Amino acid sequence: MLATVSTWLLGAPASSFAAADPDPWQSMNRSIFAFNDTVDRWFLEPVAKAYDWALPSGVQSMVGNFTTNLATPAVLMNDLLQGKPHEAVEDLTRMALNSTFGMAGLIDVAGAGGVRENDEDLGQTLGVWGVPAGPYLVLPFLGPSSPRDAVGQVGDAAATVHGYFLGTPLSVGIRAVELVNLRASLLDDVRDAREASFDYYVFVRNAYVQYRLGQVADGVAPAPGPNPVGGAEAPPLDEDDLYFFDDEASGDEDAN
Amino acid sequence: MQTDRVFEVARRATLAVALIVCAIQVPLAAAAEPDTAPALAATQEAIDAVLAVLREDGLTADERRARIEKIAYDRFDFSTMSKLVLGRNRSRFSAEDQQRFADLFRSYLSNQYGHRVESYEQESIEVLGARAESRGDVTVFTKVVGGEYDGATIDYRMRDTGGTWRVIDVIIEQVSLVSNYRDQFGEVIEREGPAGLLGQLEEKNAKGVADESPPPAAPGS
Repeated sequence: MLATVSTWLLGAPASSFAAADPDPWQSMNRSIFAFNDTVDRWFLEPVAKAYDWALPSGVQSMVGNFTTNLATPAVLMNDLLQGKPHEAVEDLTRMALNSTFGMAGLIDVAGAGGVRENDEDLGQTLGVWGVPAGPYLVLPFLGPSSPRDAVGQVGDAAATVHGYFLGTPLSVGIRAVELVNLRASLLDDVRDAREASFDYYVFVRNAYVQYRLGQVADGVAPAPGPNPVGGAEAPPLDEDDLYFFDDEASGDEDAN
Repeated sequence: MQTDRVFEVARRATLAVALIVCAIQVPLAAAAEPDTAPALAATQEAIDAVLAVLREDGLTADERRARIEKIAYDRFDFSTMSKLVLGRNRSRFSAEDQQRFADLFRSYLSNQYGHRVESYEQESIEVLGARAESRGDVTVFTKVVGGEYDGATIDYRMRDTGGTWRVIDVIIEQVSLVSNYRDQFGEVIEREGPAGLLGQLEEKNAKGVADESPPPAAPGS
């Protein structure tokens, strides 16, 4: 894998072959994806099911709030790196309120008061700065990514409270809880996706790539306040291709 | 006095600029608004109709689903969707197979999204606005309010089909359904040909009907 990554880093610019083949590392990716899927089916999903069965949803959302709060410094860092002072103030406020009145982050008092969390990470920041994502990349255990987002994940992990201030064993423990809690919240969604999809690998790849493009563009998801009517931001889709019939250009109007 | 003249000139210049800006913007606004209004209205109507069915008391799950299916069949342009989803591969299907695919894909979507109706928990949908797109399409932006998916964005790509605005794509949290299925179907068609895709759809639809409303699998219960 390292060899392929370095070929990408040293070789042709990402855009030149991204257009030709959206997934040049497909065979390696599919192997890792199958591995991750096996780990999930045999280990993570059963653990998450037991967790989901044992803990009431209120407790699960508290755990989610707690780990989200610990990760807020990373979000704050990316607000600042992307030049978003408004969001930075929001996330700082969230951290201050939730860490104190919210009992060390267990309760999202800021969210209840209308200060919503922002969703920024280093992969997005690099994207905003113009760094191309590079080819789709599936990481062992970590799942869908890209060279850019993989670098971002490392940086973000270092910028969380547990990644930076706490010792390694505690940090690993918190990360494990975070992972199981997240997986428990996705039990139905993942089951549905596995059953409904025609090619689960392609389903995940397409969703990941579209979702990340949207996040980097801060897409069409309107920020609180401004009405998107006549909004300037372009959708992250390759529209002309997506919403165009091949035979339409020839004037062949199908009357359905 | 000299300063008076300066102010006078500045005032006139400001007025002139303001007039020019208005002259440019008024026709733009006038042209943009009627474009999106019918699509917005159609989306709002469809959402209201679906929410009314979800909130109506005393319906069985099957009745609820049948009514929502009817709304969906009126409001979605499944014919266009199935063409978009096949993309370039459509030429590999015979005319009959294209029709067969359209029917199977419609049933598939109905099965997949129909069973989600049962997990409705009083969330509502807020229509945020709309944007005119290329080819005369309009995207209507909405957001889920409340429930498990609070804050999730759902955008509807609408197209005017003979005077009626219908949905041709649903974009959930920036992920276009048409794009996602196009990629998956492209992969299946490449490996197994059109017949392989039709077979898989039939298989999934048969399964969807067989285990209609399966009990949620709760471990340890």
